[in-house]
Amino acid sequence: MVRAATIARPQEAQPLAEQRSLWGDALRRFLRNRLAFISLLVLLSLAVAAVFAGQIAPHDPNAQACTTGALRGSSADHLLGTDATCRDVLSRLIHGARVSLSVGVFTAVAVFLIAVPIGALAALSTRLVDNLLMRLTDLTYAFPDLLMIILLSRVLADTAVPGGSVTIIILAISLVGWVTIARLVRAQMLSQREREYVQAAEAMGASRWRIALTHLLPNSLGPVIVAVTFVVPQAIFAEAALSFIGIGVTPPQATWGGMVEAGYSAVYSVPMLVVYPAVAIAITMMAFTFIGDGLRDALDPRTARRLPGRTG
Amino acid sequence: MTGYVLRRLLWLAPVLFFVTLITFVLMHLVPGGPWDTKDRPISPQLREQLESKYGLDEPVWQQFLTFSWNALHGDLGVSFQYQDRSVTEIIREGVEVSAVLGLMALAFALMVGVTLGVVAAVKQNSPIDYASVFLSTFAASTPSFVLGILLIVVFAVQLGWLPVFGWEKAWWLFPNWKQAILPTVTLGALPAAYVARITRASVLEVLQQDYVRTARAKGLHERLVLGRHVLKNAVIPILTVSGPIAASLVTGSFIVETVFAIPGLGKQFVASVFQRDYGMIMGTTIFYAAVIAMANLVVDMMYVVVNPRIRY
Amino acid sequence: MLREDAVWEDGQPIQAQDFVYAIQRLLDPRVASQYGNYYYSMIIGGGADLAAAVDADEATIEQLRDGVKVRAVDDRTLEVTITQPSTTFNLLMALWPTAALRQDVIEQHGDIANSAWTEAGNLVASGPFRLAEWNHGSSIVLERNPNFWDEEMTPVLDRVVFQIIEDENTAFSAYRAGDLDAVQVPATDLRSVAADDSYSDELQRVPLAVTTAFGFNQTHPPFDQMEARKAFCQSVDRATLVNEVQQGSGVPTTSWLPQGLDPFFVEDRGEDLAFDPDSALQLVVEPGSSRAAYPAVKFSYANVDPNGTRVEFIQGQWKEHLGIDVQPDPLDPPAFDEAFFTGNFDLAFIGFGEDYHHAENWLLLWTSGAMPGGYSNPEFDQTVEEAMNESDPDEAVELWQEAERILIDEDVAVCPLFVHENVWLVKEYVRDFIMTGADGHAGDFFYWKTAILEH
Repeated sequence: MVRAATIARPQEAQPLAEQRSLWGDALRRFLRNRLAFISLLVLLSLAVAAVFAGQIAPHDPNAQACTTGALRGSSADHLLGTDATCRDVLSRLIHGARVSLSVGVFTAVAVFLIAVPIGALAALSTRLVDNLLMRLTDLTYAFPDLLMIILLSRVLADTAVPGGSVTIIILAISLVGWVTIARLVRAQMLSQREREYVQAAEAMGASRWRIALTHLLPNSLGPVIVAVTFVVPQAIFAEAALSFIGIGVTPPQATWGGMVEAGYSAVYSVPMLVVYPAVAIAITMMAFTFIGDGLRDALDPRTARRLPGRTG
Repeated sequence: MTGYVLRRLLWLAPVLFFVTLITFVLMHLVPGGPWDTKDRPISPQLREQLESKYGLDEPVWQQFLTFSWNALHGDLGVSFQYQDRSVTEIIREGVEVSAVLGLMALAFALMVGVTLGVVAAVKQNSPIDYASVFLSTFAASTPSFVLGILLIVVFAVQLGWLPVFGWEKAWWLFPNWKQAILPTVTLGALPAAYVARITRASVLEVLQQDYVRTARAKGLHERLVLGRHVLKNAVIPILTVSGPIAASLVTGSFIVETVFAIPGLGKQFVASVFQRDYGMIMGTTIFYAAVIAMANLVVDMMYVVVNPRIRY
Repeated sequence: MLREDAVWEDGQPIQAQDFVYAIQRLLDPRVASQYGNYYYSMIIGGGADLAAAVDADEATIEQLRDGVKVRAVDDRTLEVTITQPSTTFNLLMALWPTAALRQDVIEQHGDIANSAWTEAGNLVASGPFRLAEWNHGSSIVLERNPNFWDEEMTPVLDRVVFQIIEDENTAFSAYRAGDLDAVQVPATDLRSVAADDSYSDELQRVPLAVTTAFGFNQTHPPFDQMEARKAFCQSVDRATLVNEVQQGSGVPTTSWLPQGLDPFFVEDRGEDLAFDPDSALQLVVEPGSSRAAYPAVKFSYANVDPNGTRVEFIQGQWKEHLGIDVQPDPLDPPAFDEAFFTGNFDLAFIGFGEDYHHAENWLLLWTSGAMPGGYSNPEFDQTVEEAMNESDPDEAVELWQEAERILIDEDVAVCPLFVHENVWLVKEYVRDFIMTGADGHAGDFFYWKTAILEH
């Protein structure tokens, strides 16, 4: 045993050094990926617009300028026209970024934080724990999402939750939406666990947790990250779908989902009204997608080796 | 493996039980009851009548036991909204429609998604890759009701090739094929995009594997490399997500059913939640839970077939 | 007295006994009829006792049924005894809840409260059309009734198909694609449709006897003060609401009774409540106080289209003209009904659609305790009471008008906003598509004259 440890030690030092440069490498590779980089810039500008909405937007998003009228097309004063209650569409679009981006991003974060530990735990633990956790996912998944969302919003409506209906929606969507990612994490880790390099590491005497953290998890994360970046638009859609059903963010708050729903009602008379927020959602979605791709490519060292010097 | 399947089936019982219990509790916590959907104030007398007729005047725990006992005997109760029609009958009618629609959408999603994903991965960074990424991103970034109305306007109103709405059984449970096209595409677009991306990511990852390099180095024809090695291993994450996708498609999509006026179970369930039709809510929830649990089980079984190294 | 030639669709004559059965069933506690309880149980002799017998056993119920003062004097004569004199009872009898029913048909399909008898193939009715198909959630098909007893009103059409489509856009698309012959115009598209010449021959509009308003919770501040109610009412620009938000559909009003409810409707009812932001502001801001001191109020509404847009507009009006931030409170319909009928609201977006064409239907709603929100004025109650008992018709009309004056002009018990309008697009080849002003009930459309021309 002692002999094995002595032999193992110099080789142990290497993984640590590689690890630091793995993430550093990843960052560099990511930044060199043109699409991902552009997407990052786009998202940053959207975020800036969201934060400084008050300064950027030409009008108060809730002001009803009925001298101009409702559902009018674009004019000098209202570049994108007015909506069904005479409010400026452009201003609402800019302010809407705030809510929609928050819903998207925070839901994805919440889902990640819930799903990864659960999935990993299921993959690494005893069969009993695995079984229990998977039944928990079955239970959650079988759950009627709509009922859960309605209940949560009703129960929490009377308490002063910071962020109001937006927080409630984030909570509700993430609580019903973590399951797919968890199962994906588990499946990935299970499959990685059978790989030769893992068996080799085990043979070298590396502890299970070290294997998990340094080998299994990073190598499982590729498809997981791609999937999590999909959660952002899914959450923004979920918000749009909830608005379609009528239980979205409380009015008169502007959100892209709410604007898509309102525009849908007027699609025959003012079709552009549905296009603007839909395009906003599409751009955000694409941005997150390319970032996700970039991350995946960046984290998998073998991709870079396969295409030396070429990225994106 | 048989042991595993049996054990999973046994686990079904507690899962269904907890789903029922939680749903029951949630349902009674949400404000508003089934008699509050009338437009006239409901006199205490009338409320009493109705409650005694349906056994809602008993304490909640007793109602739950009664319901569970009946459910075990196959009796899911009656709908309050639809004048005592049996829940089982309403579900059956809805499932005949939703299941067919869901399965068609799943087939569409898998065929289109896997094809796009594989092609994109194999021809990574080519124009085809970019085009398919853009296409799938677009499909995934348009809320289904927007996509639906877009398809209706183009194909039904302007071109007149397809009907706008409806679902009539033409052959066994399958509808008139013209009526089926638009709803299937609308419902299947988002899953198709999702599947395409997962496929692409997964295939790319597998293509980096050493055994693929080995196979190529051996001089194996590219097609054989793809077919024999790559696809079999890339399929895992696709399987992971197709389970939940199938379940959610089969249990109905409220939005597509509303937009295309299809009398399916999804629309029915949402309506019953809003009408607080306790009978329908409970019955449908149990049905959904069972379907989803079965779908997950089938997916897990398929893992073993595809990757014999995964041990249970 | 029944007509001699009246027959059911299967040829059997309609008898007084069928009405007796129908009324007894209407009041039967096992059937739990909402309208039965609301409109009929008090007025028909013996009705209240029957309706109240909730947990009684069958024998008692049978006994009480026999105690209801409805009987068939002979096959063609029906006699109903009412508990007090009423000028409107004949209107009530003309409504659908008292329509004759076939006892043999209902009992063939189950107990007295079963609904299987309403399914296509089981249902036996007596109108110009019969129910051919009822595909739940999908469509209803009517076919001409070959045994219809009225020669004059025998329909021209063979079939009428109602497609159940919840999504307005889908229905409108179907109309444009030619899959539907008539469709209700979505509120948001009205202006573009009205402006479009190709639709000018197809557009049909009819005012409905439905008033939309918002109600107050008068049991606690701030709306226990008439001034607050008046201020909130005066600060809403109804004309813009109708012309812009509703794209011209509807008629602004400050009267609770709708136009067309002659002779009760008064032209200048509620004129003090017309849009006047300056006056409204003054009522709300007392010298020395600020608007910020105004208690937080919620505007509750049932979360179905198109309520949301209207509520948002109104809320914006209060913000703009009064500087007060009212919180919109969207609720699922059952949650809204529960909140409203238990008085758990500050402001509520409500509406009323007429059941029978008389001021009584509209004003009885406001007698003490009847309407949630706590409105109670003994003077109003008394005036209504007198009006109901007044035998001279002209006197009665004056009394009803006085009652509405107290309700609206004096007390501002409710703030009427607008009267609805039914706007439909009907293809040019459909002739004589007749719409009435009745609120979505049986009298909404008359199809017997409608015909389809060659196209």
